Amino acid sequence: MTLALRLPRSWHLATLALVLTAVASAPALAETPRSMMLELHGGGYSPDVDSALDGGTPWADTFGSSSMTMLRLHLDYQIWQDFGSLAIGAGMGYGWIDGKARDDGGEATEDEVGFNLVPLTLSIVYRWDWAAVNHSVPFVPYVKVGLTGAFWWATDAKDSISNTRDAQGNAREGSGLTLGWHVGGGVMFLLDVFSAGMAAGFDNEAGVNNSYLFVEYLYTSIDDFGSADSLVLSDNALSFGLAFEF
Amino acid sequence: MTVPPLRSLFALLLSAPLVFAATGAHAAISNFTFVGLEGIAELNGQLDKRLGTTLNSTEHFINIEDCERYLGGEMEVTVRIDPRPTGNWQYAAAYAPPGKTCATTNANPEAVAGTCIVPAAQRELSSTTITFNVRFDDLIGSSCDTVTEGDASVYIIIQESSLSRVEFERIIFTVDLRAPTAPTLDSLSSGDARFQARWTDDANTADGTTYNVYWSDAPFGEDDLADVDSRDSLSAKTVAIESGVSNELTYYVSVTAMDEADNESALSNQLEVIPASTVDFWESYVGSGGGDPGGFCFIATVAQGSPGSMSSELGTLRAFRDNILMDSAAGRWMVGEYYTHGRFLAAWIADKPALKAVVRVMLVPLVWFAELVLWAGPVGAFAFILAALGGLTLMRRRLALAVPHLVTLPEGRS
Repeated sequence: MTLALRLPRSWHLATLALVLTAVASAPALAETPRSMMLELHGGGYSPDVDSALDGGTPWADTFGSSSMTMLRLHLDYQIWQDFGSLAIGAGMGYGWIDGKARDDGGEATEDEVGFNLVPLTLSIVYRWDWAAVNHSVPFVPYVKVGLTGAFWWATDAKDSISNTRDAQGNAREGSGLTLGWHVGGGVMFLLDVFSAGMAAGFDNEAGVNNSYLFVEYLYTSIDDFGSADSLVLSDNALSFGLAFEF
Repeated sequence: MTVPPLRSLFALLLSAPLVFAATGAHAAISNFTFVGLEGIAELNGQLDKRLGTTLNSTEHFINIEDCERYLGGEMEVTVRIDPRPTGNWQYAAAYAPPGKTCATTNANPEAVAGTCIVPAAQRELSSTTITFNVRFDDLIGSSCDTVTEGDASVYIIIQESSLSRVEFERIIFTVDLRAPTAPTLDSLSSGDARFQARWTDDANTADGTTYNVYWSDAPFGEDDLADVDSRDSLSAKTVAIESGVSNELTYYVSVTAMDEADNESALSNQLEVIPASTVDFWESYVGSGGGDPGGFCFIATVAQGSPGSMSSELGTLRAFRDNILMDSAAGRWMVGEYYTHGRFLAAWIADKPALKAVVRVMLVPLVWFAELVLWAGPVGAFAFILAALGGLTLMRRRLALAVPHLVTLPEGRS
């Protein structure tokens, strides 16, 4: 399907002129040394639990088609700056979703249950910020790859960690830690172009060189590297947020 | 008669100092402290804390239950004025039921039956502490079933002997003999070993209204409340009951309202609910054949294979964790470290069959050790291992003596 944005030609010209004006008027960036980036992410996350199961769709049955709300924080340190920057960083997130327990007939009940996910990440990030630093181009594309460890727990109607017994009678507690990896990338938009003076002040007063809006696509594989006995929490997810380089 | 505006303004300005002087003559008592209340005779130690019996209490409630309990009794009121004002002062103590007052213009208020009771008048203020008795019947002023409420007053008045200054304190006792109206229990929803009650209450709009929910597996009335389960002092109009509830059992539920004076309404209408089991996400996952064992016994799970194939060994290790390790600080530290790092080791060996086999063999003595400790206890296991080591050493020595070329003992040992 092709999406066509039907706007008058004058609108396109005006938008182009605005961007060019902003770019042309942008002052020199990075007055103080920069070495770190803090990203604040918000987005959705839909663990692919059901894909690994032949006997049912517990995720869809309980939570429907809704996504988890996922908030993440990522901090990295730039170990190399030349034609772009290379950084190593760590992140932590918290995602949650509420759903309805089912009765024996499969109908939703009043019992509210949930699932919680705390992904911890170690990442290597490459940002092509050469054009932004040297030529005031306000876009910074980047790629990110790393390892993920996700703590998770499922809650029952009493908001306790769910537990049950399997067919063999073994106790099964609904919490754990599942490992995996992630890869993805995104584009950051340099906010400084909107107010060069404010950006310079933010740098001088707080040491924040650049502020960005970004959109990130991340594929996260969380299944203990393919273990058949692990809860599969993998997903492709988009996130949006603010980033500060300092 | 009409008064020219200018003149009336002038008169108002002239009269203002007189008004201020009059109100200033009845100022609050400086350095006044409410010390407490104590029941007299059969009420000694029987006063409820809602009466505000302790030092510096500012709220004093008498409800229907108190009214009935304190009937015919007395309490001793103690206040303190420390330091005492300089000069020659007298004091009076008086009290009035709701809707009545005592004069506070001097230290000799007029006693009027049913209106103002004066237990002390024109007494010399020679001590920093003042005590006097108050009869509950006179303070409440009506029978306990009058369905009324109002503020009774206890006055302490002090007067400088030259009559130039009078100060007084009024301690308010809220007499609430009106029980709240029963709320309406609207609905009960059942859950898994739980149920939720929702009610409405349009009649009791005062701040401080709370609710009590009662439930039982048999119908009950107001005389049975001491014997049924309850949740008290709820401020919301909904509650989830999640403990002591069994599935497939019929529960009868009612709710009452409580006002700020702890008067309880009659029971609301009674509804029934039957909790029934439900399936949450994790139960559904396990029921769908999901293989994740949950919990955190990472290494053993990975090394042993599918959860079903090692339930006995895993059960032993989990029991060892829960019953032995978690009982000591050192054990809890070990468990914490294991949870921090064990998963990474488990993930690493997950796809290495040879390594899994090695770990599985290594786990065997650990499982034996865990079983021994679980069976004999930590001290017993320690003694057992010590005895076993001693026995082995003895056997080794005897073997060395019998077959010297097979076993070499350390130098100087024989």
